[in-house]
Amino acid sequence: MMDRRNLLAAMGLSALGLAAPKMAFAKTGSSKKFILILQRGAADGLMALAPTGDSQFSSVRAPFMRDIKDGRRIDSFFTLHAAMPNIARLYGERDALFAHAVASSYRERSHFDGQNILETGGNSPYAIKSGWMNRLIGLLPGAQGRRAIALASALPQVLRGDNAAASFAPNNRRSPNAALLDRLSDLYSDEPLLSNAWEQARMTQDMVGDTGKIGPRDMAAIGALMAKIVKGPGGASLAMYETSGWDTHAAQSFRSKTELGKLDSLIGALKTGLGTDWQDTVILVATEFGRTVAMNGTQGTDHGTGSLAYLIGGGVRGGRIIADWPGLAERQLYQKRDLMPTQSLEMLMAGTIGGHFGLDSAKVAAELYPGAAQGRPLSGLVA
Amino acid sequence: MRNSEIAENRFGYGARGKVVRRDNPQGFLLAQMEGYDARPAALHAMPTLESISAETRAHMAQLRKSGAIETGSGKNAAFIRDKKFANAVRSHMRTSGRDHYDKSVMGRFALATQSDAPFMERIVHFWSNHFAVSAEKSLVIGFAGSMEFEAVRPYVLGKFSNLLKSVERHPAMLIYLDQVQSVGPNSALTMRANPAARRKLGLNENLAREILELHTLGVNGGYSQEDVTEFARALTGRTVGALPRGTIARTMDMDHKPGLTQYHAALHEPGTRRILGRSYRDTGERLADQILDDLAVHPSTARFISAKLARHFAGDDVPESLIKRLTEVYLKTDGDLPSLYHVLVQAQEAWRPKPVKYKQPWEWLVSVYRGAEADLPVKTRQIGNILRTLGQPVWRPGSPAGYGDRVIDWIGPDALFKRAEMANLLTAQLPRAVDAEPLAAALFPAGLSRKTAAALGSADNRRQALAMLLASPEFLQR
Repeated sequence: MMDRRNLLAAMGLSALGLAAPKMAFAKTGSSKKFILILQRGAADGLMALAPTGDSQFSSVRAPFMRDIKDGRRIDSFFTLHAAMPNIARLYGERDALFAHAVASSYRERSHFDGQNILETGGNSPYAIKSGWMNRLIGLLPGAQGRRAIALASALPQVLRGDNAAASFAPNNRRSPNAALLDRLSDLYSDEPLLSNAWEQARMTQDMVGDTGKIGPRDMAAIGALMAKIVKGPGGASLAMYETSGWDTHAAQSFRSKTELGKLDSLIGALKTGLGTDWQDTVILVATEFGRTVAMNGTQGTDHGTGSLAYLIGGGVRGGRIIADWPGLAERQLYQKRDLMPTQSLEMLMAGTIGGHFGLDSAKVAAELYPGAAQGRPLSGLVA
Repeated sequence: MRNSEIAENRFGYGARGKVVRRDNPQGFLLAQMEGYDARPAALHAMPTLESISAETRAHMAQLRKSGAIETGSGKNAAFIRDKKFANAVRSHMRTSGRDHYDKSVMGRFALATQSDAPFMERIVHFWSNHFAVSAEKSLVIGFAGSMEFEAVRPYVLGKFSNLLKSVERHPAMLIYLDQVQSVGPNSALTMRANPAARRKLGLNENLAREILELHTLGVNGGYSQEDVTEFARALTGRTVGALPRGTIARTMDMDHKPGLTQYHAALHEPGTRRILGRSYRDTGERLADQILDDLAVHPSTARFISAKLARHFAGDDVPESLIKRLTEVYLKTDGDLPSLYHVLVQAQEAWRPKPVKYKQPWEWLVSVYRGAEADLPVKTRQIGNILRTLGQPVWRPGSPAGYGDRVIDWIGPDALFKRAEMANLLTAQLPRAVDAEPLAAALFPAGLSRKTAAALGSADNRRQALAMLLASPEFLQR
């Protein structure tokens, strides 16, 4: 039987339509790590990083001012929610950057379409079948040696596509014996869909081993596991994790605090777990769209437009907030209800990825985000 | 023989023990509609809205009698007592809700594994997922079973409009999509509230948006943000007893039908509504159903429902011809669901010989128990735990869109690996030992590949052979 790793490399290559030269790892960017954390459900950027310097803020968000008052003033204009002490510290150490009033090219308010655009990079939902993170694998130097993995059970849209990608979720059971696993490898060998998924799973299993039980709210353990998957020369170059609980139509004070706290723990655990690899890491936190500026009738907010993105890691030129602040007066809002987006999430992502991996950002933008409106990738985001 | 196998696997939950040769597999499926029992014996002991409400009322009486809620003294005593009382009631509903949930999951599983009308069970579960609620929201948990058993099951053989109206008034849906606390900005309650209280009252458009996007028209169905907001205004007044908080709670009688849907006129936004170009006079309580009736027969709804139904049974790449025929019949019959099932069952597009779908975890687990004719596990939570591990806990999807229904949603590397692990574990847990080779021949008389047959024959031992069968391409697909 062919060695599984070689088999996989071969499959990856044929999918890319390349010949199969034994390429050495390109020096540039080969040790770089990129982690995407998706906030599914439309996270409220005004709660996470409050524009307390905006004269309108305390009146339009009066019901939520209690949540903001304990936050940390990180510059003359913005206050970071108190549930995020790790991220506040990283900002102080110039390892965190915030981009406010950002949005993808999507301007409607459906979670599912919004997430599809965010994950495919298309300009209309379901127009592109593959995810941009999957296409990114193909752009990386030494693509066939790269690993991409989602800490999830099914492969999320952003990683679906022709390039091989794995998914892995913690499991407290012991794996079946190797004899059964090998027999199943054989049984699946005529079915490409099964065979691909199966071999990816086995490779990840070999790498991670038995994790023991990890609860879904145990962000410290999840962060540590993710760091383990990413760390070192053999670790994944690309990784992603999905968070939920951001769709705060009701009782937002409490729920935001909980979810922001979990995000902060996850980031803290990643930093600890990655050790010296932190210097080569960029974490992007992004959501499909933001929430209404005004509170609704149930102490929450409804679907909106502009929101917040975070860039965190040793590779980030942090300690900065990038925002062309649109204002919060009614006439300054998008459709008189949402934070007006003033910068493109896609161009932020293209600039980040291009800079981090030493790729041409314009090419990254064209390949990964063909649906994005006109614009230039941002530069100078990463070291 | 092949069509008998397709009838069991693609349209049902797999045969129990063996596939029986049928001369008329389509007739076999259609007959299941005739014999369908909306309230079979297996569900008689399940929690119902009435039982949940009665039990909540009893708990409220108990709370009052025991004096567990302190009255205290001082200016805010009554206010604090009411708040504590309401919290105690909610907390009780969560706790008892977990028991209702466990019981309902087992009831659902028992019915699906033993049913002689598995096509109809598939239909019920299809609609239950279309109108998804999620026990992720803690107050939903006790109501989720009732939502399927009482709001979906009785309506799957009628008009779509009646199914729609039934689910959109069930407490589980109203709680899940935040309708309970939605108040008209010009409602009687808002008008008489003081400024501080008024700030906390207002619309919540979550239910209105998801009805349009996920339940009826579909996201490209031609509605605007203004339609969403207008619909949200129209829905105000519809709430659930004992669950609203704050100012609203103080205008309602806690003891009046706790946990049951009710119309509270003081919350309703007065005035004429304009939705999708049509004007609706304010008919108060009846307004929501009038709008739902119109949405149910909208051409976008016809198309959206037809495509989703076709894809579920006939595969992700179902030919457009079938979707088109379903849409035509939908429009001609004003959404008569049995007419749609007829078209589906008789469509040649749905009988393509090669498997068209990978089974979702629920479908797979039910088919394992049916195939092996296994007894149900004794431990209440075992089935629930297996499904959680496999990524599809019952009535607990991560979003109001329900569980995904495309092949790619279920065939991720980790998902497949867990399926194989579970196949291996089940061989030890299935209460009756089974021989894989004869079982494979009985369940897949036409579809068993030579490769799988050979693999089962050369297995190291009986248990390994059975694990391989349960994880084989044949068992994983339909």
